Amino acid sequence: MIPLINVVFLMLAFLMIAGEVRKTEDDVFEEQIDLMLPESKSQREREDHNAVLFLDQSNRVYLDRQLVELSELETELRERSTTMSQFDLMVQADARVPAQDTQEILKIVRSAGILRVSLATITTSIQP
Amino acid sequence: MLDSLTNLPRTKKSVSLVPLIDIVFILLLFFLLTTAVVKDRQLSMNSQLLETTKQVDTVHVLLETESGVISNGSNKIESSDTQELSKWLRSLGFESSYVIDVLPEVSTQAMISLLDRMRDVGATNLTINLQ
Repeated sequence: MIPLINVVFLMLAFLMIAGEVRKTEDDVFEEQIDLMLPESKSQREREDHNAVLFLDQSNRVYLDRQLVELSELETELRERSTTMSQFDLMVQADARVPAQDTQEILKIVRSAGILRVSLATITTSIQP
Repeated sequence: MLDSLTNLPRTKKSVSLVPLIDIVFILLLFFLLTTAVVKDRQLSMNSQLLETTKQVDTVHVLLETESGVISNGSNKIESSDTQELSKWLRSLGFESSYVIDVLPEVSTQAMISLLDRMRDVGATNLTINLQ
C-alpha cells in the first residue's frame, strides 16, 4: 500500500507544479496586456524568432514588449531587419481583434520587407 | 494520585491514514480532470500567405460573419459545415488560389478558423488579402 501512496503523492505534486514550469518574458508580457491568442489546428511547434510583435485588444502595438506607434512601426521593423541576413518575425495578435487590424499589421510588415512571418496560435487539449 | 495515574493501562493511539489518502486521491482526480495543456503553435505566413498570386483561377473569398459565412460574389455558404465547404471547394477546384478577405466586424480568431477549415478540406493555396 505504501508504494502506491508514494506514487500518488508524486503524481499530485507533479500536476500541482507542472503548469508553472516554463514561463518566458513574452509569456509574462502576454498576461500583463491580457493577450488571448487565437486557437488553430496547426501542429507546427513555435520556433525562435528575432523579434515579436504584439497586437493587443485595444489595438496597441508592441515590438519586443516596447510600445510602438503604428506610424513608426515600418521604420522600426526596417531598422531591425536590415541588420540581419535572415529576419524572422512572430506576430502575436489577440484573437478578439478585428481581422482587418491584423491584416493592417501584416501589410506594414510586408512593406518593411519582412517575408518570414509567423502568426502565433495555440492548441488547447484537456487531457495531458 | 500520581501513582494511580501511572498505573493506568496504556492504550496505543495511532493516527488513521485513510482520510488523508482519500483527500489525496480526490485532489489527484481533480487535477487530472481539470488540467488543460496549452501548446504554443505557429502559423507560418511566409510568401504563400502574404503574397497574392496573380493567377487566372484566383477565387476571392469574403468572410462575412463570425460564425463563418463566406461568399465569393455569387454563392454564399456556411464554412463550418464541412460537407458544404468541401462541395463548394470541389466545384471551384482545390488547386485554385483562394484570397481571403474579411468584413470589419470579423475577428482574427474567425479568420484563423476559416484558414484551418479550408486546409482541412483540401485547399492548399490560401492567401490573406493584403492589397
